[in-house]
Amino acid sequence: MKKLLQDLDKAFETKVRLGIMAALTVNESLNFSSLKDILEVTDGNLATHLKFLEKCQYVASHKEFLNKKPNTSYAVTALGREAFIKHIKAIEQMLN
Amino acid sequence: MEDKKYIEDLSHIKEVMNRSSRSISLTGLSPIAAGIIGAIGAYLAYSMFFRDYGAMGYEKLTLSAEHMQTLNLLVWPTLVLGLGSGLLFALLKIRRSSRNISPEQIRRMFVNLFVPLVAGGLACLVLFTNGYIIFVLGLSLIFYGLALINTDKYTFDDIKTLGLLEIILGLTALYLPDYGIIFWGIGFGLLQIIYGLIMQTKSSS
Repeated sequence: MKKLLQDLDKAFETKVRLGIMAALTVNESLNFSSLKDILEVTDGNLATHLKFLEKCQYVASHKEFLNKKPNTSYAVTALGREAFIKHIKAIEQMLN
Repeated sequence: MEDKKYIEDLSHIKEVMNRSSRSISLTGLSPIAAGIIGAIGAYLAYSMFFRDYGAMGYEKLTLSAEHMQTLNLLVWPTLVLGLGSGLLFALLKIRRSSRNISPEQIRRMFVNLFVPLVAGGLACLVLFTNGYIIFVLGLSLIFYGLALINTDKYTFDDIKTLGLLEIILGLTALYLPDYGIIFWGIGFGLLQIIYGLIMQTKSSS
């Protein structure tokens, strides 16, 4: 039991962060507005959680200009993918 | 208590994954329209060439210039009308329901669809212009099936089954080239119409 709780990642405690990870795991990359549409959250809320995940190095952002407008796209890092899978596995085992 | 939160978490993850990738819902009208045109094309080809020639075997079929011209007149309209009507209905449906679909996702779906389709189409074109019509029938079915399977990730609809059936028919058409045009007609005509009808009844229920 102790080991399982260790595997549960504190970074994924909130629903929004779980949502971000889920959406980015199945998509190569998504920009800010697509993520917002998918998760149906406010700008500020999404930005805060994205920043947090970036700080954990679970998500990487890429800034570019599309039609002269700034466009930031996000992708999950190898570290983030690994942590996310570990987290899901821990949940599954706990429920068994 | 704890358990309930985690069960909710898991279903949330699953829901987001589905919503964010399988967001494009296609319409049954696409395969029905393409299927009808495919069936007509196959029937015309059968009655104009294959019935008279009978068994053609594995040999390279040599057609006279005149025959080639008639075949060209049949193949291109079938291809353009079939592909065009299928795409038209798909795009209309996507535009009508584009609320939560990012243009990026639509772009990715079409790239996934067209890479195998164009590669296969060019391969078939080379074979066709060299007179290997027998191979074109089977290969076009196989490449079409691969293209469909490649887009499965992006749509709600179970397009993978149709893709697999097209591949099986394509391989059978290659194995039994004498009946190639019949399998082609089943694959591009009958099968697509049936699939489209199933999709339509599913979405309206």
